[in-house]
Amino acid sequence: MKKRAIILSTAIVFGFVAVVFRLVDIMLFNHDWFSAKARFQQVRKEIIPVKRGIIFDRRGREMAINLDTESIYCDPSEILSPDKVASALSGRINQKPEVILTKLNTDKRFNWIERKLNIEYIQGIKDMRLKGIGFAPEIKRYYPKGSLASHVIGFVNIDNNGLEGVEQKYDKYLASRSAKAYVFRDAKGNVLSDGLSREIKGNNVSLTIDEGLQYILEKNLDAAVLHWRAASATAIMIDPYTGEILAMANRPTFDVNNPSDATPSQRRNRAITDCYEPGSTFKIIAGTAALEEGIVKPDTKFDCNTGYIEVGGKKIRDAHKHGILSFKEVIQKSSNVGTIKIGLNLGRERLYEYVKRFGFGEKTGIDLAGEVSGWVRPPAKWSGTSIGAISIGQEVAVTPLQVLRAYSAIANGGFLVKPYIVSEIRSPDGNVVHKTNPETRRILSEKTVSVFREILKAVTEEGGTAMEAAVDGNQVAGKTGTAQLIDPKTKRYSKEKYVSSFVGFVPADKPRIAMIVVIHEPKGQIYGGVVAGPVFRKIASESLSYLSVPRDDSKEKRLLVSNK
Amino acid sequence: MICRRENRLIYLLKPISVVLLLFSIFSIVWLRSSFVSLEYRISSLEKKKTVLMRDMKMLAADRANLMSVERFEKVANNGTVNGGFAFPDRVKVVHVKKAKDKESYMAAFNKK
Repeated sequence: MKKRAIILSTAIVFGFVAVVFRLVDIMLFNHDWFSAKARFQQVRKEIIPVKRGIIFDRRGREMAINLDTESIYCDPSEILSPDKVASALSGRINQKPEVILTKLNTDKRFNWIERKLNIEYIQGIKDMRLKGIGFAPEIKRYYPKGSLASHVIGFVNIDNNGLEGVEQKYDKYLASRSAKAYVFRDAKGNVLSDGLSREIKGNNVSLTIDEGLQYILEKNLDAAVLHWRAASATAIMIDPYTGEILAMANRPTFDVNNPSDATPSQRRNRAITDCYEPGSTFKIIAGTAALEEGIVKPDTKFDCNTGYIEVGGKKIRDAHKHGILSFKEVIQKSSNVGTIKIGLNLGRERLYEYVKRFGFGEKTGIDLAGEVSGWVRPPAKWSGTSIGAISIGQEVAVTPLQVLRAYSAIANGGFLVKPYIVSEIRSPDGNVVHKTNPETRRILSEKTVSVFREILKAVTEEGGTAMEAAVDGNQVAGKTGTAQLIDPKTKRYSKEKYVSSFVGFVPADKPRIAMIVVIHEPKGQIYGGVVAGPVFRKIASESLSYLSVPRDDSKEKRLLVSNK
Repeated sequence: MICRRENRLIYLLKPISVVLLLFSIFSIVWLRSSFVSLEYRISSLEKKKTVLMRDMKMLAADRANLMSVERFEKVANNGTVNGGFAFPDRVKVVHVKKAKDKESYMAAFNKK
């Protein structure tokens, strides 16, 4: 009995001594190695996905948001049967087995199979428990309004970097630097949470765009393109006092949720990237300049009897013979002859000075990428015909936004505004990071603007070129434009291809909106008043209703008006 | 007499110390295991939270989709709403606005 007890005691002592030796080995001699091994097994490095900031319209409606999704990757070294895995996956994701197989048969330890898969497919793949196939959480940018304001909002690439529009221009605000976090896990790989919330969010951006106005604009632009079988079209709506862009659209357009399906031509924001000869809408330059310089008065007469005028050896004609016209009628009836005579009275230098004063030939400074400055030659490079051509909107290249900005100056009392699309940027916790303040500078006197506004009102009245742009209930001031396009084959003005436009503001005396509609290559009709005028009327009418703008005749019964 | 009392105290202190030692060891082990189990629980709740947050974002996306003016017009024009989609007749629009923050709302039939 005693012998057995001794043996047992000795065994226990040896056992304990062995344990102690092992502990000494682990804790003293090989501490660093074991410690590193434990860390490797227990701690996992995780990348915290960055959530881009949300883009809102001016009323706080979401235009771009984030969705949680997952991407599938593979570790080819762990896959025993690539063929089976490839065929199993191809049934769940939209890829051919051969394509998946090439991704599985590589030397790399990590290879993406499908990025940002729809969440409904993920669970099915997870349930298959394929060895060597892993899942990584990712953030997918989603545009709930589809193609609405696509050229303004832009889009991101697969790694959520902004590529176009606001997404690109304000990428540094919307995006944030990704970070890594270390989490503890057990032997089975289960994460032991420390309860800390790890989320990285970008700043939220508020646009000046109004979803409602944008929709009205796009809907009517679609109808116009369809009706006139136009090659392309652009429309922009602006607050003429501040330069806030309320709506901006181009046709053709694209779905921002699938930008890769669109051609570069569809993705181009023509409102700021494409130039055209403005035609008669440019006549306000010579007109306002002549008034400002005291060369003409509204009732100054111009002889337009001949129906044409010769400038630098080139005959420029009116669409119809007008006879003797007053200055007001020259603009109202859009007489080329009358406007060229005004331009000749002004002279090269003064005409050029006013062209530049209205901001043509330079970028408007809008906060969108890709804006072009247009093209205006200095007087030293003008030909003999240039003074006539430029007076009526030829030999210059402008963007629709530049023309709209020029008319905004008439609408707001003589100030050139700087258009902008982002009004405010806020951090995720609500602090204002950036606020855009309107920038304006006076370019015309109040008197000139007041006289010219009355002239532009006449354009949409009886005898004007844009009666079809008149809005029921509110007076419209504006101007039509019909410009010939250059035929690329003959290098001369085409007799078939035109750009028809109308630009104006409403209500004329206290404008709430200024807008331009440009239709490229309409079929059947060419005149701006006929093609673009009705589009302007429709958009303006619906927009004024949407904005609850009182009618000019608001004293009539049943209308209740505040001191707004 | 004093020696006897000291012996009795030592006699009592020994088991108390052992009990306290065992209790503290048990407490440490128990606390540690509770801590780990709490971490598991938080982790599992976080997983649920992630799923719920994901669902919430999907619902927010759906809501943003459904609240678009384009959809309003489609629904209205499909006959779901009587009369289809129409912008307000501005003759019938009533504008009511406070003149100043503290003043009451003002309304009038004639322009003021």
